[in-house]
Amino acid sequence: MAQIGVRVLQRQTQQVNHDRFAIELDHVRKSYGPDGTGEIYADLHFQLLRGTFVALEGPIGSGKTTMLNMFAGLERPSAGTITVYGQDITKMDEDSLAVYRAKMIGLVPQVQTLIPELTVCQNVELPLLFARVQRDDRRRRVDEVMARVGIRGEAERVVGTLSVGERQMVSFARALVNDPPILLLDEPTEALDPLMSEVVLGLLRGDNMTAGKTIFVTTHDRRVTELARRTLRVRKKIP
Amino acid sequence: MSREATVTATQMVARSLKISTSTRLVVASMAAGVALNAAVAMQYVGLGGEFVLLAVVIASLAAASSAVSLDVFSRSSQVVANLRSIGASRGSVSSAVVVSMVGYGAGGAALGGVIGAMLGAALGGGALGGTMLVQLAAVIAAAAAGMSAGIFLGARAVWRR
Repeated sequence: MAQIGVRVLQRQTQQVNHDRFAIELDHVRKSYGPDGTGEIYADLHFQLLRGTFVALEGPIGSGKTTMLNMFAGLERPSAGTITVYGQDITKMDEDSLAVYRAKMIGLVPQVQTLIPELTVCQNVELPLLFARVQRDDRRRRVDEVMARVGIRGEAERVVGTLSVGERQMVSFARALVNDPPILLLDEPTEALDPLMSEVVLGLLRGDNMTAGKTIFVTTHDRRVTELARRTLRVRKKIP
Repeated sequence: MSREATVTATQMVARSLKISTSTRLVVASMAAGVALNAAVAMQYVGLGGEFVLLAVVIASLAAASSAVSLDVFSRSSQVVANLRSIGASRGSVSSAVVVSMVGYGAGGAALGGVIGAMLGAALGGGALGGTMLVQLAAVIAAAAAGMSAGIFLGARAVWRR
């Protein structure tokens, strides 16, 4: 990733009213080198409205996943602040970030992060356990989200035996089960067959599990960017 | 709804981190060995010596179990990262590991302690009685405390990476 720089082509410059924003980036810089080398982002400064659906397009290695990880508090910016629903997540300690992720973020990563030894049902239930949701409520929510995503029939299957597409649907269910206000999706339709892609697109189109949520999605898929209200584009700086 | 949804977080985390029965037996064996020796030695020392022995039990089991914990977390670093991404905190994961292993450790310490107490008495160290029961309880408690501390220390070291 060394020497990769990007710039955001679209920026919002409207009157600042912080209650309207889900995510605010204030002069965020991200680099991986110890002395500022390996710069990914030089100066990100934009806001995402609450309840909006934003797609992030860009070539491989342009830092799309890095941005997603910064929103999830999995990576910290080298400078600047990221404010999510009024909370500056760049100042949070690890324990606060864990609570933040459990309550605010539904993450569908590009790389499968399900636990292959556990069943579908158990994988979907995990975030609720970490959020200390009561057992009866857990049961109800897991049941509901699995039915909504269409994987109820697979509840007892061990995740290690599922296809890539099926795992992606389990990831979706796991991201939605906590009913988080923000959904972060990393290339959600990549590696899916047309049928599974349509199911995912259906969820993004305004299914009541995703309606009203702030959705931020990285993608190369035109069908996804067409659904988004705005599309940000990042590009690699040619060294 | 599946009955699987009633499994506890501890069980799920332990399964995710692949904490096997073998791992738990290693912990139990370590605790048994240390407790056995401590229970014998306690019958030959005074009160000050007993405290020193308890400190040795805590320190040695903390060191050993932190190594086991470090190994468990290092082998499963990707799983730990995955759990973090869905809201797991260091405390919740470490606690799950402690709960899933410390029972075996305490069991091993109890077994080793009883054998040690009887062995010590047979060797002429002291009579089996109330004092020895207190000593035994202290050894088991020290073993459990040492193991818990060690597991947390191991988890902490990995979490910081």
